[in-house]
Amino acid sequence: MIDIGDKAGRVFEIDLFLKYKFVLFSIHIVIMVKFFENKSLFPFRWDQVVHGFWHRYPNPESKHVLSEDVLHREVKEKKLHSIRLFTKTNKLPKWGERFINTNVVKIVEESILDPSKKTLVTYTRNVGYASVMGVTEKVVYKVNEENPSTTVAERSVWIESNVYGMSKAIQAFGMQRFKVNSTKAVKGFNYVLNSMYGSNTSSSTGVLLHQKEKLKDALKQTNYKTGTLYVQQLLINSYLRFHQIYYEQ
Amino acid sequence: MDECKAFKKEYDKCFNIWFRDKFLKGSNDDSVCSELLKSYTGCVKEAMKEKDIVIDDFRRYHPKISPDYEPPKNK
Repeated sequence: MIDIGDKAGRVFEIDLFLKYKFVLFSIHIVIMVKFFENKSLFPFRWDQVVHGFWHRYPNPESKHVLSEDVLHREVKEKKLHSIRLFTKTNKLPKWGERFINTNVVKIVEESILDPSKKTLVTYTRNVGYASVMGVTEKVVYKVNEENPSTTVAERSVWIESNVYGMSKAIQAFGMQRFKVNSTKAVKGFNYVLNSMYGSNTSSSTGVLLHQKEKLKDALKQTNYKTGTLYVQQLLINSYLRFHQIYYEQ
Repeated sequence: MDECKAFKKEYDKCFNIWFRDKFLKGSNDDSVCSELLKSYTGCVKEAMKEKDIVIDDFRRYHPKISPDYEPPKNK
């Protein structure tokens, strides 16, 4: 894919340059691009899925998750609002290690559960790393209108950055990883649901209904300028850190 | 957080029963677990302070993503 390892020294130089430039001219350009969405199906009722949602961890495939904690929870206007914090170990490919200062990744999940409308909306984002590159994922869990004994999850992913060149980075990173990871997420959640409720159907591994790539839109909305390699690196790190909490190992 | 495991366990137990048997069945009274939640989140906040995890940082949401959504106020 991208030969980042060999370019490590150069990447660091660009990093310093950008910071210097940003401070000197106070350039604050924030670009936010929704670049990925998909829809998947859980062969379980909505109330089973949302109950299972609080039990996603630990599971045999989440040993990298160090902690899962509730920071805030309240019922407001008949909806359950929760904020949870996750920390996980940082397992990056070898080439990534030299760019990482800390080995613990922090992820915040905000959720709103509406029992009367039967919707659960979750917003998940990385913390601490977000000043340069933020990744936010929104998932809406709701009753499948075509088959009310099943639940659909609509996932959208946004990348927010104050650095130019993001679109190229996305392109370079490759959409394949996003597709694979989404499938893994659904699979992992279904593992938990299966162990809680048993298998509802013969194929209960979850189905990816469709997905849409927003790469073309992303390219339209951002400009490609210098420092692309640096941005690629940030994006890859950010995305890996963000998503390993759900999918990896 | 490791140091809050005991609090978490107690609270989770309470929350799970409340969530399944009360909240999903139409009750909005969450007072049954509120003391346990308070002890638990208090412990987590202390642990976060020690680990230099800044709370303000994640009080962020995105108007562009969710025009209807206003996150709950801190504390």
